[in-house]
Amino acid sequence: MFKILRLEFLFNRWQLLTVLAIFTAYFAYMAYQIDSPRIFVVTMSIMIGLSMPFIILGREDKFKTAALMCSLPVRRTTIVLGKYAATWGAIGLGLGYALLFKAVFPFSKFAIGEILTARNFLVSLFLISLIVAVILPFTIRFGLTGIIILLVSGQLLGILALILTQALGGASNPMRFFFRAVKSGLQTLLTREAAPGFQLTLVAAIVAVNAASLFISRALYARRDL
Amino acid sequence: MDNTIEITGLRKEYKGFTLDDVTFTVPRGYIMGLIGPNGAGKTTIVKLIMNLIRRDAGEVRVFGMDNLRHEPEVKARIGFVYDAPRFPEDLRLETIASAISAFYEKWDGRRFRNLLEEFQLSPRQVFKKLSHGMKMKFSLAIALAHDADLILMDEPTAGLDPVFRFDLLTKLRALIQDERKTVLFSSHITSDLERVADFVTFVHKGRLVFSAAKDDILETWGVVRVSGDGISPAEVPGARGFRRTEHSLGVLTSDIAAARGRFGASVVCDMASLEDIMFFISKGNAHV
Amino acid sequence: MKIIVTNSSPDPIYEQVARQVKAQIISGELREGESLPSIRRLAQDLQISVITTKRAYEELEKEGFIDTVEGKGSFVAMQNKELLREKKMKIVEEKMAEAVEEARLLGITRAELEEMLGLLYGEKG
Repeated sequence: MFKILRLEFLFNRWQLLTVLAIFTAYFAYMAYQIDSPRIFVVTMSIMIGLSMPFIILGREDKFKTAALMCSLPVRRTTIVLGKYAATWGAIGLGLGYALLFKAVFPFSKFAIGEILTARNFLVSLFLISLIVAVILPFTIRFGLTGIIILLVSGQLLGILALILTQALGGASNPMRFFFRAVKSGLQTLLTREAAPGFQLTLVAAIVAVNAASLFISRALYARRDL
Repeated sequence: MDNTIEITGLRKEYKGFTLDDVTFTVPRGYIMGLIGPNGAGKTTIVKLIMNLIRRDAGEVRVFGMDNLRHEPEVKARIGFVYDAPRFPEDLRLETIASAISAFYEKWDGRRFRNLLEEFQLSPRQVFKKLSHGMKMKFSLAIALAHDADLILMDEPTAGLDPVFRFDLLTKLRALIQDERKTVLFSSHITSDLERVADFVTFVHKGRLVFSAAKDDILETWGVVRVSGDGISPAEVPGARGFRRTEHSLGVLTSDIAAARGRFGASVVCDMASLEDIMFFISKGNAHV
Repeated sequence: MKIIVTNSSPDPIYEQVARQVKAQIISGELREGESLPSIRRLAQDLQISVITTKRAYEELEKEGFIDTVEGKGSFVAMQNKELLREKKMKIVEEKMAEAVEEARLLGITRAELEEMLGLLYGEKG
């Protein structure tokens, strides 16, 4: 797995650095504008969760390096594990950089200490895990077109939900309902009493989400014809 | 004879094409060419050996091991060269090599550097700046650097000028001086195979036509040519295909000696080249 | 060991190789006990298939011209002087048979042929 990790790093390091450099502008904006630590955590997590998988997997389609990796003396399941590790490695770098930047940025609306809590950290990881757990299996199985598939199916699901709720006589917009549910969920996560039980549940959730995603990805990749 | 590759009853189904019931062996220490027209299934076979695609049926044994059950052990001894090298184009050669070398225990950095020098490549060059021929040579350098026992190549000479092709074939011949090494390469450029192959396996429309020593094929297959309606293809012993033009008939036979014996000097009997064979079997009428 | 093979000859390549090696052994160009290039080396030099050189060497060994030792290579076999002379005689005999056949077809008499022989020997001493 570490050889894969190293390969992914060697193949994508410049892209990673470029993205982080570009993110500097975003991080500056976020640090300057956002005065709520909780919103900062959520925004940062979503940003990093959505972008890092593409750094790792985005170039593969362009250069068809999947054929290369699957020709090397390594099992496909190990390759998948390596991709997950590489994605999380990139995420770690992204998070580290974001926090470091926030800490040194002179125009921050609030001090770095306000977000450096265990709970915030776990919530961030949980959000990122949710995002990554969905993106990775699709891209591992379908490449970048996997994202198109994902977005399209997302749209279709939304339309389906809309049709269903209209048909069932519900007056409210299902999208609004969905977003309200997400928002209240996030608020609960971020404001609820940070008891050890709560934190452990989060840890378990993070592990479970990643494990399930990894399991699915491995099964999908093993069957993929290159 | 020890076999490097043993393929039995191999099958792969696609929507518009099926590779079916392919069985042949690649003996150790020789160069085997996999020939056939475009779309015949050569690349499919190579991909099935490397397990880039999953087989629907059949067995593939490399170095005596099943290529699925012992995937990493098998691949550790295979040097692969694909028709389009699949590396990140914006990286330097040394970076690409560094990433790949870690996977091979037998990687020899010095041998790799010597090969680069021999191929007139600099490690600091960026991959996308290389010509197609140089990209192939780089792929070959990588494949040779870890002392692979099997060199597996898919259309390595396509798109290369004659000088490069000559260099590549010369290199393959030199490689086989070590009789523990084996080369399997697929190509539709029959002249390359005629030059360098010891064995030839011909596939057409997903099926095996023959797998034999090249010399045997070239010494026994021939083309009978007649003008007009002198002969019908069915009369030619060993007929494997024919082509009619307005004024003449050409019949491919796998037993030119019998044909000569049958017709004597009344018809023209030429030895068949691999190109002839490919031409008649893929473009000709098989229903003799 | 200089060997030339050509695709334009009707003879299979392995035969061309075997014949030339035979000739060199008979003429003494290749001495008894001299080592021959390995089949792979020869194949590479002549740019032909290893199977071809293998076949050529196998034929040469069958006819007693060379010996192949496992792991060591191939060597010109100790030629029985009598047998060697016999082989040389056979080659010349074959050529003479050709000449006689040709002469018969062209209507050249035996006497004329003998005269020719004498002249040729006379010239060459």
